[in-house]
Amino acid sequence: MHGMASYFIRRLALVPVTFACITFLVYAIMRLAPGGPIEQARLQMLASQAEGGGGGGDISQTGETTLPKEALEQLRKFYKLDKPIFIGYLVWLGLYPDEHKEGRFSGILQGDFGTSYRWNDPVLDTIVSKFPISIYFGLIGYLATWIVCIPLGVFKALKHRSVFDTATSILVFIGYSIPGFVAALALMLLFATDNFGMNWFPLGNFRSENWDAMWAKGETWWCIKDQLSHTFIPLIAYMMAGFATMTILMKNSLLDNLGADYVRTAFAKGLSERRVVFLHALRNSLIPICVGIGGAIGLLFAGSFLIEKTCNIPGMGLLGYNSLIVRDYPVLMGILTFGVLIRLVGNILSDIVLALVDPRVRFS
Amino acid sequence: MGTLGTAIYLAVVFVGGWWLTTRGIPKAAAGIGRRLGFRMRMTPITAKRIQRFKRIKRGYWSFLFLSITFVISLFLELIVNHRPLAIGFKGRVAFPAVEEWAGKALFFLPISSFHSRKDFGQAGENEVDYAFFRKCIENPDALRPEIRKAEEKMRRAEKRFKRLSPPGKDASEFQRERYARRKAAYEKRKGQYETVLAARKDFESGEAWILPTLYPFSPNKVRTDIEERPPNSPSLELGIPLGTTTSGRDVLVLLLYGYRISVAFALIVAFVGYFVGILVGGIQGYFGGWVDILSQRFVEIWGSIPFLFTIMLIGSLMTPNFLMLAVLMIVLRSWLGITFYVRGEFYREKAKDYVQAAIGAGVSDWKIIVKHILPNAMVPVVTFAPFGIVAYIGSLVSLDYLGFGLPPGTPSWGALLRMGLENVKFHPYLVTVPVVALSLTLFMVVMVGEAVREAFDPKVFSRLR
Amino acid sequence: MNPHEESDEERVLLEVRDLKTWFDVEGRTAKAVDGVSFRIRENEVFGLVGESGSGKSVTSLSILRLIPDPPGRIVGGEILFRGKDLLKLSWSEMRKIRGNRISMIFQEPMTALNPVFTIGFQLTEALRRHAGMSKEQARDRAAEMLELVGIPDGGRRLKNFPHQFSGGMRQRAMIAMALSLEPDLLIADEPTTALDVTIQAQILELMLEVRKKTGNSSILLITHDLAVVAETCRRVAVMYGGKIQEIADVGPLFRAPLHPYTRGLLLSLPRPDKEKPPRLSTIPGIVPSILDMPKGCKFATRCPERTERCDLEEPELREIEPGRYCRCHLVEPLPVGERKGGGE
Ligand SMILES: Nc1ncnc2c1ncn2[C@@H]1O[C@H](COP(=O)(O)OP(=O)(O)O)[C@@H](O)[C@H]1O
Ligand SMILES: [Mg+2]
Repeated sequence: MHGMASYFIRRLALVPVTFACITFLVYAIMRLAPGGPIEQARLQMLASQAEGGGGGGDISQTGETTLPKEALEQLRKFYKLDKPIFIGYLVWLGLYPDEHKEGRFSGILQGDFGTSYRWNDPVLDTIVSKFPISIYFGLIGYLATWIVCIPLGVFKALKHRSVFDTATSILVFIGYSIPGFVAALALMLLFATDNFGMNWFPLGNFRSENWDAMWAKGETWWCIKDQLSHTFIPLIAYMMAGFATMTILMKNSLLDNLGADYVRTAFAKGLSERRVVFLHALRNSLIPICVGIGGAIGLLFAGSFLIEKTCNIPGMGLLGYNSLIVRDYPVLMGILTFGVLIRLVGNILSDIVLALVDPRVRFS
Repeated sequence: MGTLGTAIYLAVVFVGGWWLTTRGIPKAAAGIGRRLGFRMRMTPITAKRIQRFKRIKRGYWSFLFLSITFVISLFLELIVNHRPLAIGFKGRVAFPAVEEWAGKALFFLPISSFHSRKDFGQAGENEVDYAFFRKCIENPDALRPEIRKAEEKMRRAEKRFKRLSPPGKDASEFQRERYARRKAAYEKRKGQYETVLAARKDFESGEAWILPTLYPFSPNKVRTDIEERPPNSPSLELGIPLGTTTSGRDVLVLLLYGYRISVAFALIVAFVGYFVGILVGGIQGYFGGWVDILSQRFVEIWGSIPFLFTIMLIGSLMTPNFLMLAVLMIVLRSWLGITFYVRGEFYREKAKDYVQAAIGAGVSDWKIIVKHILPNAMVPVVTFAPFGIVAYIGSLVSLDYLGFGLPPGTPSWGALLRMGLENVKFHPYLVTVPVVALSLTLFMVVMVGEAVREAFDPKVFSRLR
Repeated sequence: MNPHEESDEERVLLEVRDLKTWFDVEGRTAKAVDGVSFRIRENEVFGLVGESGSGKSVTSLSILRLIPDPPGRIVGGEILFRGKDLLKLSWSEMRKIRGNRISMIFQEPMTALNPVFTIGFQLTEALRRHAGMSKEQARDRAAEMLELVGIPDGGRRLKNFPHQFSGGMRQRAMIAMALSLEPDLLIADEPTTALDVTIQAQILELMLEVRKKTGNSSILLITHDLAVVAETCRRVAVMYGGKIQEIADVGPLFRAPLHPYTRGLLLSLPRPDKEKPPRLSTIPGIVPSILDMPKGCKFATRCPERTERCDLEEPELREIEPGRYCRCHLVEPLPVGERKGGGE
């Protein structure tokens, strides 16, 4: 077990480095991007200085990217434009005292992501409040994918090249070729409009508008039904992404293991086919599947953008989209940081799971 | 154009596309390769793989279909364009569609497809209205309202001009100038009227002719020939097989031009990305040591950037064009995945005896890499490419769909899908058409990918009991 | 048939008769094993030698019916184990024989063990299934076997995973696994080829030794190394191109090889007893692909003594003298009076 501990220490030691690199990148993009918020703030600062600090300058010099003056002022403070980029980054990170906050350390490490200038709420609260919805879909979608894909993949492997295998392969490839949000769009057209006489599901949204009221009234049954009917289309869309990959991965992984030498050894011992396939080979072929868990967490975040926009579900993705539209930069930086963080956590989780399921990693 | 003409046109398009794809381009590529000093010999293993690939029909046919249609789409300006292939009027001949195509293909040469109305019997200085020109050939009477309009304009200018008397000696600068201006305006209108009037005779006497393209509409042109308000549902009678968008543009035309953009984007992103990836992976695997360790960490960190979000972010700061988007995709994503495999391949190959022997014999690093290792490293590249193309087409469509991709007005499938979402309740064809087109295209690419994988690494299930 | 031979027949443990195992390779048929016959007697170490690709592994896998299907198939022949044809058994009857009466050691110790289960788990599986032992009994027996094959502290080692063992130790564990149920026949398919040269002899010796201490099983020892055969086997079959070319007791074979192929193999052996080293003659040419075997004698393409007849006509495996068989046109059987029936 000693080996495993040092393995994790090595992996974990990389996390802060990676995190620092990526957040710096994020910060740099925000700060240096042409036409970005900083560019605007800088131009504005130059303008006001040129006028002798009059402060009444015209802001709208970069055409479309125009921000209200107060916002620019806020941004200027937020990004520490008066400081070198590295200091600014450290302040934003919370490793350097912030003179605008009485010299306290106040950055993302202290949980201070700034304030959304659109909603005027702390960014952290805004983002965290969207977690449950994204997790709801991500989790259900992932579980459902596992429940369907693993048995399907195993069965396809055992029936390799049969009619069943070919038929399901074509289905799987169709699934692979339709992006999730396109599937959501198609499903909405089919089952949420009157065009084909099958208007069975609601057209988008997470719940009906009166859901909370009904819940308060104690209409639990109605609420559950309403929630489920809103869940159906986005859920399928969420599943599209992982469905094909996981089925094929499961199938190929099992096929590879069934051809491995140790399977022959197991047969030579006189074990039954069932035991060899479902104990010896399956146990090995689940390793790559389990390792995918970490990656799925990252996807849970990334994939949501398009689907949440399509189905109008107010999760992290839609928040990101709306923030982009209104250029709510503090929120955007927060989301990017969280996206990176989630990915890193996912990677570590993958490592842990791999160590749990594969003794070769655990003991070396 | 009669039915026969259309048939010949179609035949030329498809046979030409087929010939170029299966004969012309491969031969040219091989020729260029040989010129550059590559030895174009196929190893028996490669030959066997190609043979196996060809035997998997659904993959092979998908490959043929996709590549032929893409090659044809490179000539789309000659097939689907509101500008005609050729136009003639009173001995003046022009090739607007050809010029447009050549102008795009040879973007470094100043080739213009602009032809003024006045040279083709129409009033004004703008570009010729080719649709109207065609209508006039069919029926010169179509010019009548045009003539009346020109005449009215001339009369009005004349009236304004005649109201003034010629400026005397003591006339002010202003009067003199106004007189000159009105005179010029009158003469211009008169000239236009005379052009149109004369044009009528020329149209009647058959001095005007036109060779339109197969489907004479362009992506950024509104279908003015449809009288009802857009969006118009698909209708063969009205000549809009896939309908029009909310702004009246032809969906079929957008679809075709969008196909070219999507596939070209994916191809560029995939191949440039893989080129970079092979380079980086090769350096990592071949030289090893701290170069390898450091660059691997870098790849890991770089790969944790949520790339779609980052591109959207950059897209919200400035409107990127096709090339910038492609570069962003390459830099942020497409070179990463392949490095891992190429690195592994290089490690494995380098350890082999024959490479070690070559190193010992003092053969240069470069030669060893190109001659011995690279061919082996190509295997993962080829098997990954189709799936990469699926992903990059998907990414471009996603970006356009969210409105952070190509500049507005570019024909793109993502923009069509977005319009579909906005009209999902009442104009189902706006959803159906792009969804079917996208899914079908991606499905075929996936079929190619699956066939390639199967050809390179046939999975067998040998049952033991 | 004289009485002496009768009793000899009785002691036959395994008789392979005209075994044919073919593979489908891209639509063509590779006759990897094509009409192989031999007998292994009780408590005998029987050698099977030949260059790689000659069909030795396929022969041994066919005995346990472990041919991957597709692409392989056992298309004909009989495998009589104590008089019962293994090819006619149901799968469940076959499972009772595998690992129990006949067990096997493979060439690649690195991949032959399942990486995700402990050595103990893999060692006790067969014990529990075939001997109906309880978990504890099986564990004790497994620990005992590990010690027997020279892995000290066997009880603790049972908890290890395969990758914590070196190649040599894994092969020892395989031997322990194969012999723990005291099988009647042990098939060892090149058990030392993948190992370090320094421990090859050790492992071989160990195998023979442990076998003496357990059930004194017969062994089918497959190898491409004639030196190994000389030290360990009583009888030996030489295989080439999916066919047996010569069968003989070890002594006569080494003293007077009949088949040109056997002579070639022997010539390439280093001979410490001779002063002058032999001319380093490995057999010229390469083994033709099993798909493009010559029509006549399989060895004809590389045979230094080839005649026109060799190209046209495949020789039969004939008994040259009692207990000695050879497949060559140039080797004539002894006079009729001393001959037995047809080939084995
Ligand atoms: N799984 C397989 N698929 C196809 N051909 C096989 C397979 N296994 C063995 N063969 C064929 O059988 C021939 C003999 O192989 P083998 O018995 O392994 O030789 P060896 O004497 O080295 O053990 C090989 O040349 C190969 O062509
Ligand atoms: Mg072998």
